Amino acid sequence: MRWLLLLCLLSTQSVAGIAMGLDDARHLLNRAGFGASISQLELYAALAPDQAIYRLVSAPSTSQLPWPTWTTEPIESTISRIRQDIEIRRETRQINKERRIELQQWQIQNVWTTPHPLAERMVLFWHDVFFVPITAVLDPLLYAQHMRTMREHATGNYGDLLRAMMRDVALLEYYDAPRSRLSSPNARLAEALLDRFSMGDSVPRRRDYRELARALTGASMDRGTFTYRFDLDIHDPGDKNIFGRSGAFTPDEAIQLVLDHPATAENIVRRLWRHLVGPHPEAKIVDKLAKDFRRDYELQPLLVAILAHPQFWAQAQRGQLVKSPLDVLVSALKLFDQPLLNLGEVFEVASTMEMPMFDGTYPRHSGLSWIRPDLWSLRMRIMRRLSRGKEVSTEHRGLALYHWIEQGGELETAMLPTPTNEPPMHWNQSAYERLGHYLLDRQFQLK
Amino acid sequence: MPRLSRRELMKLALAGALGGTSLNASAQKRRSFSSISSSNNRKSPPRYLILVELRGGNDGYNTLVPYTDPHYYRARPTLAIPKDEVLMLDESYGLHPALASFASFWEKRELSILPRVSYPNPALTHFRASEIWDTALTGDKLFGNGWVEALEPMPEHHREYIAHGVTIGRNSGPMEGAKRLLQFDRLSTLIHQLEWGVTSSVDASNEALSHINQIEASLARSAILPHKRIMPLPETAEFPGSPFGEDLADLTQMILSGVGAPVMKVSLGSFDTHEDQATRHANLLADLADGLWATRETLLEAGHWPQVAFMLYSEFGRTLAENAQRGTDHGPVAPMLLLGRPMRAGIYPPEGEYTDFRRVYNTMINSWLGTHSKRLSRREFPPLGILDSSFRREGSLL
Repeated sequence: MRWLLLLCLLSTQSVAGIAMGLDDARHLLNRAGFGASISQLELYAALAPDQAIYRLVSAPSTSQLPWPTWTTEPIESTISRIRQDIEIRRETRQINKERRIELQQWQIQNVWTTPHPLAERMVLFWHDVFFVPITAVLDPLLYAQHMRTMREHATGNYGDLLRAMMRDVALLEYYDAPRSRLSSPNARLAEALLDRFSMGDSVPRRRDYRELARALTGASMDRGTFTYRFDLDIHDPGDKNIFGRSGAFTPDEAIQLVLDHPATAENIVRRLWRHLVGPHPEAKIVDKLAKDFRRDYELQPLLVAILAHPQFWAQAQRGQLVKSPLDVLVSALKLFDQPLLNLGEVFEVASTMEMPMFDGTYPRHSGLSWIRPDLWSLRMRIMRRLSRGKEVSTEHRGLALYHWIEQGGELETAMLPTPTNEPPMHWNQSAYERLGHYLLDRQFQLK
Repeated sequence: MPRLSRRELMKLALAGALGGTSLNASAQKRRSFSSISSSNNRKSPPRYLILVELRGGNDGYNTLVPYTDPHYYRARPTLAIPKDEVLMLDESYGLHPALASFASFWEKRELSILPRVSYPNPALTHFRASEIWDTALTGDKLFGNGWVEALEPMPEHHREYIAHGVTIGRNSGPMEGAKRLLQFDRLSTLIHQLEWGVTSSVDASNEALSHINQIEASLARSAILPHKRIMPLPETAEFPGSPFGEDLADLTQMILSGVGAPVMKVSLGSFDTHEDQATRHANLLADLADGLWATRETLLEAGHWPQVAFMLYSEFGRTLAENAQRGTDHGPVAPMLLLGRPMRAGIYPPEGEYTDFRRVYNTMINSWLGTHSKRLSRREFPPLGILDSSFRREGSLL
């Protein structure tokens, strides 16, 4: 594969073979993952950058946790329950409510426990791009299917992902696709396709949305099996003019036009760069990466190219991104090596901190709006609570982390993206007090 | 120009945000309240309950030494305090030699000791145990508010109370959730910051950090400390140079300036002495006792000493037996010490196995602060008679 070649190329550079050390390991695992335990940090610190990147990028995006058992139930059976009498309907509503929470928590647990952190990060990244709120989808089974599809392509091929999403029943339903018909084309899906899923809102003109909406009519679903169906009866067969090209485009052809447009690759690259590297991608770099990406839309070479880019490792990028609430919580919990909070608590606390878990989108602008006065106070309050949980019990004193700190492990480097501005600590602070100290440092909120 | 700790800011930020929009309203209410009641209260100066948290689980057996108990000496071959070094208080208990200043409190009849304090099914993990002491709740609620939040009415009729709680240094747990809080690391830095605004040593090229700076600064501006009222400490004041000593100096300065809170808190640690305990523990105890004595002397000279009661506690005690590393592990029972003019000096053994710490809380809430707790009923946790009768209020504010 081409990206393997890229890695080989990398290994010929001077960085190859040289262990990257703790500082770079923290940087990589905070950006491409959700923080790490000391043992993971040490493991990566001993790797050369290309080895580490290979490890992260080549990991499968399949879930390491079993899916909730009910997600394999046939969809019709649950949908048909909704058509029953009021008592069963009420019961079903309750079950669905619980199932939605189960899915949200399941995803958090995946993030928390995965050995493949970049894959999980990409799963969440695509959930943000192809945003469908979990509460807006009637049957959680449909949402589980949506999640499976997303996960399947998360580090695969963007073109395949886009095509699969444009046939995803939960997504089509949410963007009103089945109600967009020849007689009254509905631009919601077309707008989402361009603005959210592909090229961003700077390129298209109003005419493109309208014409694209016409092309997308007929993208519908079978109400019996809840699967995708192209419905010729409601499709607009006439000629459309999209991005200056004319034809009697079908939905599939329209999607291909979107994929062919250079702005699509540029936008995806830009978003991914902001997600992984820093808030201000240089146009020159984006152009170069997008040009390669557009050839086949393979994600793994793109991820390698971004993570191996000198800009990714530049000191100037360190500490430039705000950790999401989930980043903060999971990175703290991973460090402790021990379950300070249970899954339900993590979910609850993350929600209080306004972490979207399939029920909202991420803030733009490198996450600066994660930090509002009220949210900042809340964050600090939660960090204080966590820092007080630094010592869990006597038997945990045998923990690797404790020994590591006692033996002069560089805790500041392991935890903070750039050196702290805080005054140095007093002699009588124990290992775990030092841990608490850095946990409360605002640099810990950054990555 | 002193460098500003942003941790100060952060803590202020918390205070500001929790006060939120109600800040002005409550300040207004406070003013009107004090103008109405100031004539009534002129004769009763504000009272301060000072919490001293000994973080990490203080070794009670080497704090209050049961020097006549042969079990004690058998269980601690290297750590036991030799009988001839113990500062004897009565025929059963004495103090660690590093606590010489506490012996002076005892001589002045200003020290009450509850030798065995605990609660049902005590937690032995730092996290959970601190949570229980901070909230006075033994249930499973994770983010419960501190016990100060449950005071009703909140004692706030004094001009000298600028907040419901003040925490100097770490862990504002007991006050978490109260409407007006102040938490800072160093008073001088805080004042400087309020006078000169927030400056920062942060690299401006980092957008995210600058943004956090701005947010913290905007929160700091809504802080509630009337810094212009703060007066310097008298020149005679001599506090230990340790961080704990400086914390106490700040605390004293606030009380002298009339900008305190009914509940104020300092902490010292770490008392988590699993190995090589002896020297470390002695240093901590000396720091503790000398600091509190300096506080007493300074407040006494200014005539404020009778307004202050100290409550010392730790999230748990330690095992009677020492371990193989010449340290001790977490134990369920520990003594509680209360210091100050208002205390009825003495050692008060429990009626049963232990004294429930919530009874001690209720004593100080009811009899000292003169208010009540929504969380701790007097029937379930009746106050103890450890306060001098001339100071007892018994909720007279109601």
